[in-house]
Amino acid sequence: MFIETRVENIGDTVARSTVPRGALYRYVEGNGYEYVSFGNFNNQYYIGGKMHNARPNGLVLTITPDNSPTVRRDCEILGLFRFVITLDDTPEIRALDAPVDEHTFGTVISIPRDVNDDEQSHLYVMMGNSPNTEIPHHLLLRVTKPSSVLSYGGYTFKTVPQSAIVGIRGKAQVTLERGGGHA
Amino acid sequence: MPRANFANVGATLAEVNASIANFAQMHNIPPEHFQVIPTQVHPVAKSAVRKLLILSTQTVEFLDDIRQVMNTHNAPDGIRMYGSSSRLQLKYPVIWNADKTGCIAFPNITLNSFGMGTSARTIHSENPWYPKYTQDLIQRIMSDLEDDKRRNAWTPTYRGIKRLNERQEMSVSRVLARAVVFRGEPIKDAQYIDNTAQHLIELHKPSTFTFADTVDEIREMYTRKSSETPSSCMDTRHSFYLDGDVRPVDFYGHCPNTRGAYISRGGTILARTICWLDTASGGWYHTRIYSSRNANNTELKKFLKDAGVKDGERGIDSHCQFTMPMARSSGNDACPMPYFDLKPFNWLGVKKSDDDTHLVVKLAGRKENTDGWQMPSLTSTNGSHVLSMFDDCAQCGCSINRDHDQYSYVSGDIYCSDACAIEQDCVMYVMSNDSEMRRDTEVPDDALYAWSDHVLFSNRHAGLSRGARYHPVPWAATEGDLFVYHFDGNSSENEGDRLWSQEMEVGPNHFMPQTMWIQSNSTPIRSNANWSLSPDHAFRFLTMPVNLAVKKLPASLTTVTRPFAEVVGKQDFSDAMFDEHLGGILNSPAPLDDHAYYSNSSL
Repeated sequence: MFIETRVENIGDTVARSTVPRGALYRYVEGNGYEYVSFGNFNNQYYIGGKMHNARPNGLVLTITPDNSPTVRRDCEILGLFRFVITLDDTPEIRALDAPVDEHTFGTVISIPRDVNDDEQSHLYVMMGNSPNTEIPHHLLLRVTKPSSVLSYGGYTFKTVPQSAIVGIRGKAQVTLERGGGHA
Repeated sequence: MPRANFANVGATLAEVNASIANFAQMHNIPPEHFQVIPTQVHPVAKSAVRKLLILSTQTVEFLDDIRQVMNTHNAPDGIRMYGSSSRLQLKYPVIWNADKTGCIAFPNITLNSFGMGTSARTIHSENPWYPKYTQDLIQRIMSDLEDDKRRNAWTPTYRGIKRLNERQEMSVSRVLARAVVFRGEPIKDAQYIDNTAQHLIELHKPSTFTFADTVDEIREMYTRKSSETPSSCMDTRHSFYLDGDVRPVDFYGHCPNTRGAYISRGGTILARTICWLDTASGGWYHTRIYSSRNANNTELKKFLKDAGVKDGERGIDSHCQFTMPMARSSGNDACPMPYFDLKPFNWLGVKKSDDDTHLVVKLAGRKENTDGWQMPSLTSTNGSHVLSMFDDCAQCGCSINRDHDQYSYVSGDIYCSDACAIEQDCVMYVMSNDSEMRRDTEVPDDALYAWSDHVLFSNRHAGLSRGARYHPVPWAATEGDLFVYHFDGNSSENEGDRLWSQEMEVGPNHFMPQTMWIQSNSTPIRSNANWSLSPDHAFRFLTMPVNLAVKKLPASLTTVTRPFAEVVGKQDFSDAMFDEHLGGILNSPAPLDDHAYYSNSSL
């Protein structure tokens, strides 16, 4: 059902630009924060999360231009992460901009007529607004396989208008797995 | 060297003769209409060619040495050596003797067209049937063999071969007078022959290492008489608007913190450099070494090392103040000013002495006061700085009045604006309590690049305390710091929008006031369904929960493939529920009742 991620070189040091989606890592000679990689959006931005124990929710969204000096720095791959999606008992279908609550980072949704070849809805984790559109769009990260036979591939990021009709399916949480060599 | 075997040539020529005979017979052409190529040549002729092949490599080397000396010290006609092989030729093979103080000549192996540019490879194709370099010799041998009296010179064969073997020990002068032909004529100028012979012998002598401390010695170091001498925009082949015999490089002779160092051979400078005194350590450091050959560069480097002079391309400071004679440029008071490869000082100032008779020059550090000093361009090739109340921008050349205009100094060069300095590879180097324009080559390796163009911070603390932060969007953090620093040299319409400042955690339990900038065309910076400004304008980044119970992978796993997500709980949902749930609420409307109507009739 879900797209597969392959995290290589756990325990090794690689350039940030080659850290794969799904990895848990930290910068060599950084200030100790750990990050998770959600992938690259439009070859313009690295989308990720910063582990921040001082924050109530723990994972802070990061958006970093791919031409910043940061992406040339070395990172140590510590392990991997995955989303744990808790589905709501009752899904809700409504417009995203309804003033009910904030559907921001971590809300899981599906979109009408966005299905795989078995007519199953794709699931998306909301990533806030898209960083490069002047008209506000939501940035979504697809977590389901592109088709019933493909485990990888397809554009994982997608944008939808601010007032799109969607199915509110649940909430995502991040869970971590560290390499054996790390505390 | 393996003995040349001409047997294949004879066999090939026999095939050619047979082929021509067949052709004549087939076409009923009398065979006497064709010339039969002799398949045999006399052994003495073969021997002559073999001897040339044996001597070819060393003869070419000797001729190349003559060419090099003539190229360096002018040809017999007083013009620089260039042109075709016909200019310089040998009449017969000549090679150096063992210690290269004299020559060995083979006068009976006379040569044709053996000149400048002839290589051992081209000689290798020489053969006695179709001779090129031994054409006259072989023709003479064949002609003599047909003459009853002259035949004795070459027969029996051993006598002919012995005759070819004749070798003469000759001085280099004698070779130049007898064996060398220039423009088809022997060289007759005895003085030229003596000088050239001396240069030829010196060519193989070891080079001499010299320090140049005085003005005369520095001038000697920059004297270029030969193509072997590395060129410089300050050498004697360039002229400057300096009156008298004053040269720009005189500066080095007057400055107590500089000295020249070079190697030479026979009066020809082969490699040179300028050495600087590091005033802190008292040691001498050399700058870039100029040479026309790598071997000379390496040799000078070794001499410098033996003399205790270290490589000082970076990291030295040389400060001093000295006087030098006033020079004149087109009638104006001027200071000779070379092109500086290395500037181990923050600024170089020039002014007149109190009695206006001398120049006072100062090489100073960053914090020393520049008042009263004029700043010459140190990368100009004009050769002098004319003293006036104005300075010229080193980039655009515009006039700068130091009393009224704003300007920047960078390693001794003055610029009318930061933009001009950036055009010449300068950057803004920002420290925790200061900032300055620097050459990009003079920025420490561990400096941090800013997000802004042409800016580097000395360290992260400088970025945190002097810079702002760039965020593509205000609702997300960035990986690492993208520091922004605006100054005249990088301000543009696309610099972004400044948001607000607040205390921010910039490291674990480390808070500092930070100002956020975002890109001008980014998604809305005002509150929206996804994100809202905090009432107190604090930075507010989107967050989501993390399960703090971390699993641990087996230590042996370095590559893991896993589903990107997993589901907790069950949910009954299908895509058809979208239509089902909405129940066609946006279908086309049914026809209106009679008492209702649309204000827009197009519906």
